[in-house]
Amino acid sequence: MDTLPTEFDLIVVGTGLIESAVSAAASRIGKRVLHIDSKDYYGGLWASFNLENIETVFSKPQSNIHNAGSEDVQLDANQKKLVIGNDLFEIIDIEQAWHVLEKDKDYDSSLLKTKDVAEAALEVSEECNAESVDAVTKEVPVAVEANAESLVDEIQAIAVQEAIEKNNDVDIQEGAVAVIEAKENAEKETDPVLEVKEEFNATNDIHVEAEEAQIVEEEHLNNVTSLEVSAAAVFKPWSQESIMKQSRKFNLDLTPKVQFSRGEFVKLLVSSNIARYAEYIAIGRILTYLDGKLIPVPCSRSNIFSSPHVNVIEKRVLMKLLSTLMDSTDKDFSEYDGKTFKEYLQDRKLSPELIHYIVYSIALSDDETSCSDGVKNVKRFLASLGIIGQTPFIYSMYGSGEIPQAFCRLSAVFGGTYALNQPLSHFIYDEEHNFKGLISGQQKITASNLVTGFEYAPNEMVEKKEMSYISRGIFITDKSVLEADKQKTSLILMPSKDGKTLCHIIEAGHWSGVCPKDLYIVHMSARRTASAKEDLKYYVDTLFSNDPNDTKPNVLWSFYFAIPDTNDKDYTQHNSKNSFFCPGPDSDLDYDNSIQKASKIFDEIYPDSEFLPRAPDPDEIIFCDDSDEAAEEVKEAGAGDLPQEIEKTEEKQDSAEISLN
Amino acid sequence: MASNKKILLKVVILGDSGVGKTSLMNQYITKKFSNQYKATIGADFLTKELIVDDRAVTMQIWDTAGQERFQSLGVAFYRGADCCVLVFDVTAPNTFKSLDSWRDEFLIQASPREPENFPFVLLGNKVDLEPRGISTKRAQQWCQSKNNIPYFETSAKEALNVEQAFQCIARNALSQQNQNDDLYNEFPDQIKLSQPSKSSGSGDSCAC
Repeated sequence: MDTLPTEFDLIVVGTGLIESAVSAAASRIGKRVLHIDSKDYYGGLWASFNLENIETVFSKPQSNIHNAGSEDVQLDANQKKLVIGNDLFEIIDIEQAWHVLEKDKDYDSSLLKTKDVAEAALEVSEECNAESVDAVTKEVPVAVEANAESLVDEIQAIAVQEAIEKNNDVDIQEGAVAVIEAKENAEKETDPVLEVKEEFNATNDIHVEAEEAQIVEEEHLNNVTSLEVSAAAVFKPWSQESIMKQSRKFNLDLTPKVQFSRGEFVKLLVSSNIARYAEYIAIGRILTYLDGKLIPVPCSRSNIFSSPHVNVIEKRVLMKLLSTLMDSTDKDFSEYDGKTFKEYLQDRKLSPELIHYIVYSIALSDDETSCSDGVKNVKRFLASLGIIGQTPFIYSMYGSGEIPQAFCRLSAVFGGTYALNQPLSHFIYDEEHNFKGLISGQQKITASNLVTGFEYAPNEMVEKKEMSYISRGIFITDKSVLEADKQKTSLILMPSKDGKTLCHIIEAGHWSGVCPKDLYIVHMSARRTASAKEDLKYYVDTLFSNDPNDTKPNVLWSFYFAIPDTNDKDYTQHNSKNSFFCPGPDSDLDYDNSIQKASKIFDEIYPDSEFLPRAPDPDEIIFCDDSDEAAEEVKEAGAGDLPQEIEKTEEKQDSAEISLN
Repeated sequence: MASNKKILLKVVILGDSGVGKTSLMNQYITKKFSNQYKATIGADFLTKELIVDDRAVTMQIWDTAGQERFQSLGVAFYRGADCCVLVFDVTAPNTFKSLDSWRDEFLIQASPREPENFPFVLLGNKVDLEPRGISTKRAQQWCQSKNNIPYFETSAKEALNVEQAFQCIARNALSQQNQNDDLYNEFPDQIKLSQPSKSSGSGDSCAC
């Protein structure tokens, strides 16, 4: 294998979105770029993984940063080594679980000995026991096929008995309390009545079943709720085995994002010609949760007029309001300085339903969003409507992990050197805090500037303050949250119970290239307040069901984690004028703010150059067979750019020529 | 899928650095050859319109853009490939030895539906150069062991067998795509972004 070249204009460490965009922009203007990553995949925290890989991605050390060989690297007298990576940046709340049985054959009761099934069922029940208090509302580990009834009864009896034996000292009282609470809630609470009632009914069903299975200790029921539900179910049984067999068809985003089809980011993709490296899919509908059910948000003109959820008068009011907002200027809202967007709408005497649609969906806001931000968001939303499909949004095929790779591709096409899976150990700085280079294995590689993902920042250069996190959940489900006549990728915008935060939820199916047929991927992202699982519990409980016979989807696999949000505060502290730290993913729905950050970093390093000008089309590159020069001539479509373009290309060749031998 | 629909074939070229991937592409598309080696720059993908079995197709040939040099080709590169061209240098045995790992890498990353039937084509390039390191027979044996991959000995420099090889590549890519389309149309709603003015509808009609 070749060894890496050792001298560059710019070293970019990490292949997240912002790093990749800066890399592409620098290569594009002819800078010699080394783009290096300690991981063996592109995208860092912006990557997508198949099912097999995502389970291991956080379990191994988060990078292969190490010291081997670095002591052999000679430094100048005034130089020092800083270990790459810091203690501040950490992924937390990681919790992965299957909610189906392990093997296909576990479902095939006719081929099985009772004992095997019972063991498999016991596994499931053990999982429930671990959280007996939650058992009533817990998402269900599914499904033992119950064709042969006597067999099922037997299995139940065995499994339950074993469960009971195992849990003699289990919190029986707590389990009982949970039931009582559920009942009380059903009576007391008026708000999520439907939800609670469903839970309540489910609990009752279980009682009946349990009696049939001749089980005396009713208190124990809660410990085995899920088992009971699943054992009685008859529906297409997914198993861990059958899902894992198709592992490679999954593209699970660590950072799922949609793109405004006429937002800054998409404009840049198109204008820079990077768009050709990726494919997209329309977000077909936006859903919100209102009055106990999921409703498509009427957002486009035709949606508004055809929506059964808005009456004729409301249709007119909504259309009028949207066009008022669209044509408005900042001073139209001067009296709402310091007030929320919701207050503005309330003063317009809109119905609560309309306010709900506008605040949480069209304005992508919550109850606390300021009026000016709300208006700004509405304008942004409307500006991207009517471009592609029924909503303003598109999603990248095969998941969001494709996007950083598109930028890397452009960087490579323009001469960027790519090296993944590198043994990065130290950054080298001089006494004046100038970045001089880095150490990878036994190699010292130098460059004039450093751009690096925050996760690689040395401890000496980060400020220890409290970190914010984004709570994430990824779910594999067996049906859509809202079945439709046509397959649609959905964006679900759900306010929290108190309206203070908005949870971003994306549901995609096999047509988006993110999962096998007949399965769905649901991504949830919300601000972390307690833990990933707790923060998302309300949404999980609302959208999904434990009951296989329910119209709501069942969760087959779940994965919770929380990633640091390094955007809201500056966590770096350093005096290095040639080091630039890229924040990780933010909590936005889209990439517009992130790409702005990339552009800003680029401007700081190369203030006189354009950020990602249009790249020539492949057929504009002409290969000349000039025996001495063998220069590629780039014919730029914009005639004015022609001389400049040729100059850049030549400059690059000087720096990148490598002799064959 | 309707046969009058414009057919776009994606072909990826893989092989060690310096075996002549970019030169082969250039020779095929532009009929030009440069003797001076430089790590691939500016080579992205090249497009050629051609007729295969009486059908007009557009073949997009994707270069590695140099990302193979340090084993850093991302999965996005492989997406949706209809044919994979493997290239080695007949004067450099180590580039022949790498073929297995390139083939494996492709099958893992692209994960085609039927890996055993996915069309590969092997090109032994630089037959104009001496001394020969890998015999024709040895290369053919390898191809036989991999479910009879077609094999061509080429010289990008002398334009030897290049046209023939790419004809074969196009034909195999087309048959691969036909097979897939007959089975089911996997991604009907896919959108390509080009000029902002001519956005393509995704089946949903524009709303406002």
